[in-house]
Amino acid sequence: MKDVEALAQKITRLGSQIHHWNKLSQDELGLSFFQFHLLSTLRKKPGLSLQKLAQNCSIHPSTLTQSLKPLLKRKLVGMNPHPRDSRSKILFLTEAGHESLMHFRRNFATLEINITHEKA
Amino acid sequence: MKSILGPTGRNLIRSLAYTRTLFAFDFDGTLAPIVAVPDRARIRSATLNLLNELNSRKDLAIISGRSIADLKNRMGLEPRYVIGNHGLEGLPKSRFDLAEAQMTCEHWSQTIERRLENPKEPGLWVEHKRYSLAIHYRHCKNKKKVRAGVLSCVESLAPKPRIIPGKDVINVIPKEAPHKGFALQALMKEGKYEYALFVGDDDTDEDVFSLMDESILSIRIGKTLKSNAQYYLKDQSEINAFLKLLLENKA
Repeated sequence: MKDVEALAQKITRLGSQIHHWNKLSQDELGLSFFQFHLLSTLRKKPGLSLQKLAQNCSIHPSTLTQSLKPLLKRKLVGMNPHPRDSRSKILFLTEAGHESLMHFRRNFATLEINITHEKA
Repeated sequence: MKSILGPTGRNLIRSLAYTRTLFAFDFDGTLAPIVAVPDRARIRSATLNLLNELNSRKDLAIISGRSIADLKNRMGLEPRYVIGNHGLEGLPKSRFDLAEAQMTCEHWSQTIERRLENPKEPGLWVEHKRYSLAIHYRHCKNKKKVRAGVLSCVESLAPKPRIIPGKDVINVIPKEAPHKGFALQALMKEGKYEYALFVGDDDTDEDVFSLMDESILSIRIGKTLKSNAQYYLKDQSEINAFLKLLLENKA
């Protein structure tokens, strides 16, 4: 029982830490780590459907829809009809999305130091 | 299936500027128009200029049913990869036994020539491409009847070949040979490409289209519901517009 409580405490702390890191990267680099992962996946595989992107990122499609909204609003990601399935959409990286991705990559090192510092 | 020259296709092509992409094309009916005599097939000069421009900026692959020797004579460009005989010739690190394929094709060729000899149908001819065969009937009078006869002939060959009907041609290929889809994926792996684009027009190109690989953008020349390709170009004459679209990408 004690082990379960300890595990629950660790998971809660980890969740909070992840939330903190995502907020930090969002504030300083304009993208959360999760958003970076989405953009990065779309850079490698342009034209993925929502369902396929969710699969590639190991998340539920409904979670993805919520996470995509700000990226679509900021025009970092574009969305068009699927070529073979009229009920579906495909996603692709825009020029602004690519610039955002590059900015994150270039400046990530400083953030990493901060994260290491936060952990300590 | 949507036109690659439409808004969705254009957006997708633009986003290829950010990924390491291999640009792969079939030859006949794709880069070169289909002609009455296959030996006269050439890439038109305007297409060739665009291709050479693309070749200077990006990695290109030509994946064709022709033999590599034949392709090199008629292409007019030097792409990074040239794959012949529907995917089985020129593949880096391939374990496929080419010598055995050659022997099998020689045996098939003799059998086919003997069987189709009497009575010989005017306009019917067998193209021996070293590792595969193509039986052409474009110039035969009763194409339907000739095609049925050729199919019945090649279906009884030993060892059993892979038979792929094309445009007025029946392709006869060693059964275990790597196909165009396999070849494209092998090139992607070899060159560490994240993504590939493939344009083709024929049934043998369905080996790429039917992979349904999310890292491959598939485009068919000619719209048909039977195809597994994602996008289409209306006909071969749209290839120049498509190449121009690719060249708009500066990255």
